Amino acid sequence: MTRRQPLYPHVPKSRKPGLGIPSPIQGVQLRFLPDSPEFLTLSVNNTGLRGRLDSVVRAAIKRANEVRR
Amino acid sequence: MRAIPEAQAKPRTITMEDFEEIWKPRGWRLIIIGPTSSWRQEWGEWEAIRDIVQNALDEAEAYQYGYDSEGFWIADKGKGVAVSDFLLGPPKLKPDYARGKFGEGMKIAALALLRKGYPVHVETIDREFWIIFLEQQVNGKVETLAALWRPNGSRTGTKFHIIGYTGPSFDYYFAVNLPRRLILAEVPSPINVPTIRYNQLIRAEGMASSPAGGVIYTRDIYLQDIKSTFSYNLWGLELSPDRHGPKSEADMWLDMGRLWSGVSNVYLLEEFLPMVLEPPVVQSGESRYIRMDSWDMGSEPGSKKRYADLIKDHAQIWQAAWNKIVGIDAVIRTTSRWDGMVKHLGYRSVTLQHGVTDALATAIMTDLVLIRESQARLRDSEIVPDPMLTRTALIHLNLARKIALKFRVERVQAAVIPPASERARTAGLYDHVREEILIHLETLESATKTLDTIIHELGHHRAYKASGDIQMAEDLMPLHSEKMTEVAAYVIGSTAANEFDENFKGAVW
Repeated sequence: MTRRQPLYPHVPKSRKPGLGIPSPIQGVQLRFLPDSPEFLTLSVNNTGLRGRLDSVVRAAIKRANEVRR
Repeated sequence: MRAIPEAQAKPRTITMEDFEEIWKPRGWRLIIIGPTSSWRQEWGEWEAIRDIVQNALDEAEAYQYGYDSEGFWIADKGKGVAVSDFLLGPPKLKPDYARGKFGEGMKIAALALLRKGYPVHVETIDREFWIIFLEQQVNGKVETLAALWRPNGSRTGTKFHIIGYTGPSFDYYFAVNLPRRLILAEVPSPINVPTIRYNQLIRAEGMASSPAGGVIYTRDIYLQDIKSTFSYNLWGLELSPDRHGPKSEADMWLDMGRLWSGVSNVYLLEEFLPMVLEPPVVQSGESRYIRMDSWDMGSEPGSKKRYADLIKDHAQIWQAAWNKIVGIDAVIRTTSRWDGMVKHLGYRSVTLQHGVTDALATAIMTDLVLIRESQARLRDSEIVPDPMLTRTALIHLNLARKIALKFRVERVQAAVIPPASERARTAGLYDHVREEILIHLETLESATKTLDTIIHELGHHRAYKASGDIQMAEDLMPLHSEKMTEVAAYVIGSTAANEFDENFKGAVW
């Protein structure tokens, strides 16, 4: 029988997020707001700033790496 | 002894003189039952036959019927009828489990038939009766219900003969006459004395259909039509004294709920669900009224198991029907408050009729359970210490930390974050309790994905700090969009102003 491999075997388990006690809303302790990769991209697109963001970031990476050379 | 005139051979109305001259000499005795011929004017042939059959079923669980040269007959193989059974007195209440309640239907049935012009002959164990009107002179003529009887009769059971009746037998109004193939499911009713009675789900076809679609029988006897593709035979409710309806409408729909709680055929559940969605996909009588409240349905008396738990026992079957009819990505909506979060987790909320929501929620996932499970999974996120990160990931993480510090968020961590649901991976999350942002290891391998994440998560943080309400900070909320746009604008401005150039060294697009 093969053992199930851990997803990230190289990563040591350090600590879990600290405990906190959020107030219950409609019977759910809502503490974490999770986001999928697709939704993250989409939400930034929806700000209308995607073009400018990509442009300045590309330029910054280029600048930083040129200085580095 | 006077000869029996032709008109008296099958008597309907006689006088005391007739009795004394014709009947008494032949061994007949007379009992006065009581009511006059105008009693229960609303009763006709159906009500009369209904109550005769009801008595037969209470006696023997089955009845026979047919037509002969004399008219129509109804028979059972019960213990027979006593003379005293024909006397009207204080109601002799039948037990709760019986079909009838007051035990007077047989007399009123005979009265109604006589009034309609049909002589009524009853042959029972060791005696026979003619039910008659006794005509008496009391300031005019009064017809009083009475019976002639004498020892004779059969050895078993009772046979009612409705002389001259050639009308309908109403056999389709009694569930015991339905062909077995129409019975789709049987679930124990709350009645188990003297024997277990089963609520029956019936296909609304042929004998079990009505112009509305289906029929509701109560304890084997027609009660009312129902707009449905199903008919029902229900035992766990009481009828009003006139038998024209249930004593409580709610009890009838609750008993229907008990029946559906025990149905375990996936094809039937696939027919049930479209009726109880809100709005209903199939508009039916069940849609608005059926009730499956756990407490009110109570327990099945044999196993003592709660009816609602029967749904839980068949959860996989309910889920299969749900997945096919409503969708694999659908959860039960308990409140619209969670619609955004549910959508965010890759699902959609679907409303059910109020009366079935709680019960079906024991088998099918609700928005609350989805979110609770998601929160529990996310609690298992594992923070990865900086020394364990790849060089690129650490560069991107430090860039994110620098941006976050501008918004006074001091905790930005790399993490292995579980999927938020079975339908949604997690690239980043905001923990409003610790004011901490976690970014998934995979996300950190790309500068642009890291920036998307930190901008989005800081949007959550800023919205939460601005409103003090985590609900206002959720995805798809206007305040979150507004704050996220502000953060994005800040990142663009600062990056363009070379503010983060040190942090972009070694960054990968």
